Amino acid sequence: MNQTKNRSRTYLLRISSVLAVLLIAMQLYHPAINNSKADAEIQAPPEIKAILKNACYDCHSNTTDLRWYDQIAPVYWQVAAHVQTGRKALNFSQWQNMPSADQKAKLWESVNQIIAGAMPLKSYTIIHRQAVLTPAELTVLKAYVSSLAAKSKPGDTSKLKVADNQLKPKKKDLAQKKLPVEMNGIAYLPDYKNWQVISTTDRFDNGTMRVIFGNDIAVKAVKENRTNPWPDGTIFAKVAWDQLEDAKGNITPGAFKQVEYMIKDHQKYASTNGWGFARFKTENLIPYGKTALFAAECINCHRPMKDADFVFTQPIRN
Amino acid sequence: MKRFIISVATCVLALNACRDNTGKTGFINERAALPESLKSLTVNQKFTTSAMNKTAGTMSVLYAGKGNLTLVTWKKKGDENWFGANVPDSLLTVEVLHSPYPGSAHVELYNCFDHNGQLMKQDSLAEITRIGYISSLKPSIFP
Repeated sequence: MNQTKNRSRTYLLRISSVLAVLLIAMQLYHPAINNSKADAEIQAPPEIKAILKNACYDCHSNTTDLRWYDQIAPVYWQVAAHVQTGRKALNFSQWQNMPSADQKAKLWESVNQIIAGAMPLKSYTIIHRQAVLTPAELTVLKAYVSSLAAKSKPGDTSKLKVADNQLKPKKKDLAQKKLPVEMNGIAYLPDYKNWQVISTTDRFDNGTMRVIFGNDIAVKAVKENRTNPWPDGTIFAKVAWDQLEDAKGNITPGAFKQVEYMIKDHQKYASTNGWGFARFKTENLIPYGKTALFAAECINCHRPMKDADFVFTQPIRN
Repeated sequence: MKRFIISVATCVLALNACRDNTGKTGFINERAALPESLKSLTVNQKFTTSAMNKTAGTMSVLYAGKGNLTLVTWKKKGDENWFGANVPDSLLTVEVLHSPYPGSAHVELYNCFDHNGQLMKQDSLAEITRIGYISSLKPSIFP
C-alpha cells in the first residue's frame, strides 16, 4: 500500500518538475511590446477618453498597460499577438495622423463593433474584466459619435457645386478608359447600374445615401431564401452619394462618392470568409486598397455579421 | 450518468427550439416587400434615383420603364446591424406616373397604391403636388 502511495507521489513530482521546467523555458521567448510615443493621440472629452483607455487602449494604443499576469508566457504570447494586430487595425495614439473623415468613420465602426459584441475580444475580457463596457458607458459613446454625425444644411452650395461638376461632360468617358482594378485583382464592374435594387440605406453617420444592387444570382437567391450563405457568384454593388437637402426636408443624391463590391466565391476568397471586396472612390473610380491586404480591413468590419454570411444590409423580399 | 445525458440532451434541444434560425429579424427584409400585384412595376425596371424626406421619415427609390415612373416609398427605421444608418421599414406607397411619350412632361395617369396594393384616393391638389415632386427627381449621378 505504502509502496503504491510513494510511487504516485514520485510520479506527480516528476510531472510537476517537467511542467515547471517547461514554464520557465517558455519565458525565454518574449516578443517585445514596445510602448512608443503617443504624440498624435485622439482628442476627445475626458469621459470618452476614460472609456477608451479602459476598454481599448491595451491593444489599440502605444501605451499598453501590462499587468503582472499578462507578462507570463503563454498568456504573454496571446497578449503580444493581440497588441500587434490591434495597433495595426486601430491605434488611438496615432489617431491624428488620419484624415478627419477617417477618424469619424473609425469611431463609428468601433462603436458598432462594441454594440455587436465583437470588441473588446472575449479572449481578452475573460481575464481583463474592467474592459467590458457597461450599458451606461456604451450610451455615452453612442451619444458622442452621434454628435460627430455629418450635419446636413438645406441648399448646401459646396455640395451642389461638386455634384454639378460631376455632371459636366468629360473629355474621355469611362467607356474609353481602361477599367480600374483593385489591388486584389477585382476590376470595376460597370454593369451594376442595370442590376436590380435590393435595398437602400440612409447613412446619417457620414452624410451619404446608398443603394445596393444585386446581380441575377443575388436576386434569385433572395427569391429562393438562399441568403445564408449566399451562393457563389453573388455580387452586390453598393453605391454612395452625398445627401442634398432642400428647405422642405427633401433629400436627393448629390455627388457620386464611391461604389463597393462584394463578390462571393467561397474558394477564391477563402481568406476573407468567401467574399472578395473592392471599393472604387470618387467619380474617377480610384481603387481604395494600397496593398492587397486591404481586404482584411473590409472583413474585419464585416466580421460581427458572421451569422448573416458577413452581409450587413438585409435585402428586400422580391 | 444516463440521467445526466438525458438532462443535457433536453437542455440542448430546448435551447435550439428557442433559437430563431432566421436571424434577428430574418435574413430578408419582409416588411419592406411590395405586394405581389405591384412587383412587376419594379422588376426589370431601370433604377433612376433614390430620395428621402427628413420630416416624414421616409425613403424612396424611383424606377423608369414602359413609359412609367414608379416611386416606391418606405417608412425608415434604424438599422439594427449598423448604428448610424436607417433602412427601409414597412412599405408606405407605390406611385406610378404614366406618360405616353417617355421624357415628356405630360402625365397621362397618376396612381398611388398603398402597402396592400390597393388604389388610394387622393384629392387633385395632392395629386398635382406629387406629380410635380416625382417629375422633378433627377437621375442619380453615375461615372
